Amino acid sequence: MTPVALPWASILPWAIVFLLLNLGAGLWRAWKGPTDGDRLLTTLLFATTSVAILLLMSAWLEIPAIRYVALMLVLLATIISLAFFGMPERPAKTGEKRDD
Amino acid sequence: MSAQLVIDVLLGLILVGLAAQVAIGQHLFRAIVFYVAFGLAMAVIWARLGAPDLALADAAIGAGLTGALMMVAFRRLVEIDPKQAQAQATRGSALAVVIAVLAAGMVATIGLTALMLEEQPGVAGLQVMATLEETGLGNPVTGVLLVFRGFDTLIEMTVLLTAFIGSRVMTTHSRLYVATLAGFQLPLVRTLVAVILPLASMVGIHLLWIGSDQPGGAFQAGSLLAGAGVLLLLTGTLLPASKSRALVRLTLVAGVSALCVLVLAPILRGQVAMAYLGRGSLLFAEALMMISIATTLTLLFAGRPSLKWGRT
Amino acid sequence: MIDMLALVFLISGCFFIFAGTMGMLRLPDVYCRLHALTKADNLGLLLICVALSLLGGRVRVALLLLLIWLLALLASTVSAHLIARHSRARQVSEGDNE
Repeated sequence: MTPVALPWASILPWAIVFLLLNLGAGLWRAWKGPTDGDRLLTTLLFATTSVAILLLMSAWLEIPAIRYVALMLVLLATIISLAFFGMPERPAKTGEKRDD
Repeated sequence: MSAQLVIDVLLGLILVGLAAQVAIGQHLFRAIVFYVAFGLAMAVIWARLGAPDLALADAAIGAGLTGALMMVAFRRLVEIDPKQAQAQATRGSALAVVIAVLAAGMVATIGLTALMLEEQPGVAGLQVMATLEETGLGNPVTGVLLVFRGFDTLIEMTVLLTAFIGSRVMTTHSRLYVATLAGFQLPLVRTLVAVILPLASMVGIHLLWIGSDQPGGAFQAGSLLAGAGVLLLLTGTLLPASKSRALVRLTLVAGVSALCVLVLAPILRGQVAMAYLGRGSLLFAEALMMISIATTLTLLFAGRPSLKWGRT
Repeated sequence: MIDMLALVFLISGCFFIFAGTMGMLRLPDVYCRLHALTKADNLGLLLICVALSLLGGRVRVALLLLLIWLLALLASTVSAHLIARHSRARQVSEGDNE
C-alpha cells in the first residue's frame, strides 16, 4: 500500500549514498582527533548513521528483516563506549582511573 | 550511473580502506576504532547483499562483541605496559612484500577465472528450495543449517565448546582482569541496563521463534544475548566468578547435546541418523543452541568459568 | 501528498545528519563535537524514521521504527555521557599535573 507518486526506488538509494559519504567523512575524526574521546565519536557516528542506512536499505530492497538488524545494532551500540570508559589515560601518569 | 553502483563502490572503498588501516596502521587505539567501524560496515554490506541472517549475526558479534573485547584488551595493555600502547613504527619487511604480492596474484587469478567462467546452475540451492516445503520451514537458511547440513552445525557447536575449553586452559592461572566500570553507580548506566536487558531478551527469543520462517534463528538470537551478557559484564551487573557451577556447565553443553539428540533420536525410531523429525524438534534444538552460544560467548569474554551477580 | 511529505522529512533528516557530521569535523572541542553529533544525528534519525513510517504505511512498521529511534536516543545519550565524563576526568588530571 505504498503511495507511489514519486520514484522511491531511485530516491532511497541516493539518500543511502549521501549517508555513506557522511560515514567516509567522519573517518577523518578517527584519524586526527587529538584525544581518544574524539576517536570514539567516530564510533558513535558510525552507529547512528549505520542504523539510518539499514532502515533505508530495508525500504529500498524491500527486505523487512533488515529492520531487525538495525534493532540489534542499536541495542548493542553502547558496548564500545562502556568498554572504553575506564580507560586509563595514555601515557599512564599515576595509574588512576583504575576500576578493579 | 546508477545509485546501486555508487553504493557498492562506496561500500567497497570504505571496507578496504578500513581493513588496510586496521592491518597496517601504527596507532593501536585508532586501529581498534577502525575495527569497530569495519564491523558495522560489514553488517551494512551483508544487508546490501540481501543476507539478513548474516547481517544479524555480524551486527552483534563483529560490531559489538569483538570491538569490546579489543577495547578491554587494550585497557589491560595500557595498564601493564604503557609504552606498548603508543604508536609503533613498523619496520618494513622484505618477506611481507613478497607474500603480499603472491597473495594478490592468487586472488586476482581466482577472481578473474571466476568472472570468466560461465554461469553454473546452482544445484544444491535449487534442491534446497525444492525440498523446503516438505520440511515445513519457511527460512531456507534454517533449513540448510539444521536439516540439510545438520552435521556441520553439530561440528560448529563442538568447535565453540572446544574454544571455550581451550580458553579455560589458558586462563586458569592468569590474574583476573575485571573490566567493569567504576561508573556503574551512574544512574544513566543503570537505566541503560534496566531498559536494554529485558528488550534484548525479548528480541532474542523473538528472533529464535521466527527463525523457522523468517531471517533469524539460534545463532542470531544467541549472539544478541551474548551481546547483552557482555553489556552486563561491562557495567558490573554480572561479574566473573572463579568457582565453576554445575548449572553453567550444563548450559555450555546443552547445544551440543541437543544436536546429538537430534542426530541419534531418529535411529531409535528406525530411521536414518539425522532424519527430519519435525518443526518442534528443530525449535527445541535451536533453543538449547541459543542458550549455549550466549553462555559460551559471554564466558569467553569474562575469562572465568562462571558468573555471579554484582551489586544491583 | 503523503509522498511529498515523506520526501521532505527524508531530505531534512539527511540534512541534519550532514550537519552533525560537519559539527563533528569542525568544532574545536570534544564536548562541542559530542553536542553536535548526538543532537543532530538523533534528530536526523527521527526525521528519517518518520519518512520511512509514512512510506511503510503500516502501524507495525511505524512502531518498530519508533522503538529503534528511542533506543538510539538512549544509546547515544549514555555513550555521549560516558565519553564526556572520561574526557573531563582526563582534562582535570592533566590540568593538575601541569
